[in-house]
Amino acid sequence: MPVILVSSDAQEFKVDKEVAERSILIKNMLEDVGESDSPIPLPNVTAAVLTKVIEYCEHHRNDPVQVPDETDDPRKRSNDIEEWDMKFMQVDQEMLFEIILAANYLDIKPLLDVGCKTVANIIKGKTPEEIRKAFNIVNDFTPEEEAQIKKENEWAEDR
Amino acid sequence: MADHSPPSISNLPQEVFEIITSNLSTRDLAHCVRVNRTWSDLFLPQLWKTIEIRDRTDYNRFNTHDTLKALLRNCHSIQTLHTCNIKWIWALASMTTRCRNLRSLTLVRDHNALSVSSELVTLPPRDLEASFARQAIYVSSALPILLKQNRGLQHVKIEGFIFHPRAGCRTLDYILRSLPTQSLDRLDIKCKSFLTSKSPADDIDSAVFQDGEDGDGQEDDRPYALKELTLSGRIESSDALVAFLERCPRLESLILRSVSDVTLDQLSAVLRKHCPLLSRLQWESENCIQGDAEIANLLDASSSDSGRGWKSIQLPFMLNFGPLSVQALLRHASTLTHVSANGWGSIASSDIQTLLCSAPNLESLNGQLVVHSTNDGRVAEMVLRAQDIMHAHASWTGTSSLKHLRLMIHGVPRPDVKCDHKGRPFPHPLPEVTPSYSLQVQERVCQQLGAMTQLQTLVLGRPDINPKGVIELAERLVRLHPTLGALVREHQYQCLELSLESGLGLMSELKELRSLDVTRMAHRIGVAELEWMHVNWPKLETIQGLFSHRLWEGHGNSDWDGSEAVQDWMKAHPLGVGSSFYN
Repeated sequence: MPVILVSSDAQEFKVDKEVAERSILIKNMLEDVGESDSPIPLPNVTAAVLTKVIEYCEHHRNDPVQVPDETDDPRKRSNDIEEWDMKFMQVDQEMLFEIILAANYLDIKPLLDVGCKTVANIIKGKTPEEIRKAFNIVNDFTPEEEAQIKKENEWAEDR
Repeated sequence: MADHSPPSISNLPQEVFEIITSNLSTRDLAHCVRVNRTWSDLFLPQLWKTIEIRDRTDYNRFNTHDTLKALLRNCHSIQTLHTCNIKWIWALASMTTRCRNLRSLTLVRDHNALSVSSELVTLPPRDLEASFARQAIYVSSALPILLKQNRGLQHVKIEGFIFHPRAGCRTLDYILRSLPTQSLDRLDIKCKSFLTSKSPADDIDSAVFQDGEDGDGQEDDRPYALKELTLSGRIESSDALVAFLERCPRLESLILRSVSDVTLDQLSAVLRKHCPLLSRLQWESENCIQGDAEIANLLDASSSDSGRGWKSIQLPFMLNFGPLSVQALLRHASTLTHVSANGWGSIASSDIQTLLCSAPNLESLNGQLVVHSTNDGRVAEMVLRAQDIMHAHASWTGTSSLKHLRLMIHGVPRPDVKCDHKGRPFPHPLPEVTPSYSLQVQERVCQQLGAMTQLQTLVLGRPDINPKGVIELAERLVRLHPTLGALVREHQYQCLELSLESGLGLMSELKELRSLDVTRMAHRIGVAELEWMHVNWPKLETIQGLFSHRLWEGHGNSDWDGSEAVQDWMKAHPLGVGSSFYN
């Protein structure tokens, strides 16, 4: 049975229940409501973002439920994003953050993780100047301040 | 977003932001801090969240004026602190209003970084000792303060350098009294052997510890949250520890590393009485000298009444594991799920058999084989003898829950084994048996193993523990202690054949089996057996120790004719032995 999702800009999306239930938020809603064909409003998600999110859920509709691995040291985790997800995440930064926020709101853990890893990968291995460029940020430190903050946190440099 | 600014790193919800930073290295975080003011404020708490000073390099890196200043400014961000830097403990303790968010504190001794710091090694021994004492007292006074101001600590690990003779047990008392008992769930304490309960310098101590003595003023009688306790070193009888444990009804795990007899007896009594949830024992020791009665006493620390008792037991090499210990262990058979033994003195084969028949929840039995050379030439290991399996009427169906089994099954009569693994005849001939009796024994063993329908790992082979190989080690031992000869031979040669002729077919229900280990066994797995496994054990991925030259058959040829065929078969099935890989 399909489910109808309504974006913040009032666009309707018809998706399979199985796909919509990748979102724990929607899954819980459907469980609470029971059998009902009334559309589900998602006031936090625009049509453009919802389109992307649905694309992700369609692709991953048959994935097994994620088991959190607690032995995994997050600091050492590699950028292990599978190829399809990597391509899927090749969007402009605003969309990237919109997807992350939507994944957080809709409670789609794997999408949230992939989004956050994508952001981390943009930062990884870059110098402060390269990070500024990547995120279009203006440096508002005075040279003295920057030198001081560098000195104070030098211990972290060769980790 | 309410303010309609486009989403960016700086306006993400905190929990989302922390998923991003958990993917970054310390170095990456240090670079983020230097990007601009906004990023600096955002990333500094993440950068300082985990501080680890593990060795001299770390120590030198942190030991600058600017870093110490930054530490004090950012100490409210620190959640995990691993340090061997005494100065830091003292400095953080002095920041009473700010360093309050620790979740995990590890204080260890690092010989390079700390005790042998360059200015100390030049001192004469007496002054060096005095300097250690000063350091110990220095920390002993600061640590209780730090513990008291961090009421959210969940994990505390303290290694013994602070337990100096001049501070002694009193330090332990003060630390135990300062712990945040309502949040703490893991405690790990290591004492040095010089710890004594009667300190010759009590007068000095009382002055130093005055600060710890006064307490918070409010007596709190709520039960403590502690779930896991690790004790190492020699903690001599400590009333404070006993009093502490009396209030830990939620304790589940006990990890012991070389503790003294006194501690064991005291522990056992208090645990049995006050810690009803205790169910996991991990006992690690290089040289466990405890006697049978002491071991049994500790095994009784978890009450086996009313459905409670040990679920998981891991024991070290114990020569003195005797009848009392066996009885204590078997009292817990109904609750046990994991048993791991690193060589037990005299647990009889029939006792292992009893365990296998009476432990309905057992998931893992790991009887690692260790050949220990002891002064009287005894060898300790966990061996199940084929005769006992033959003569037992009970079946092992109680172990249908077993997933991992590592056990030496020996004493299988093998008239076909004529020589040792290098093709040399045995100095003493093996006992004569008829081939039909041999098959009868093997079929019975296979039948018992075949009932373990959940089995995933089956290790029957002998592990190669040291690079030279255990066999070589054992052979040296045999030369020293000729009585060991028969025992060593058995390990290798009186084992299952695992051939279709000798009952392999009875094990066709092991549908979950993923890994089989036949290392150093005189097995007869050939192409026909591989084909059978391929069909009957669909999940099997690996067989360890498959290749064998079969010189033990005594033909004197360097290669068994079938080994080439086995190699060809393995080459033709590169993805594994099980059939599931080809569906």
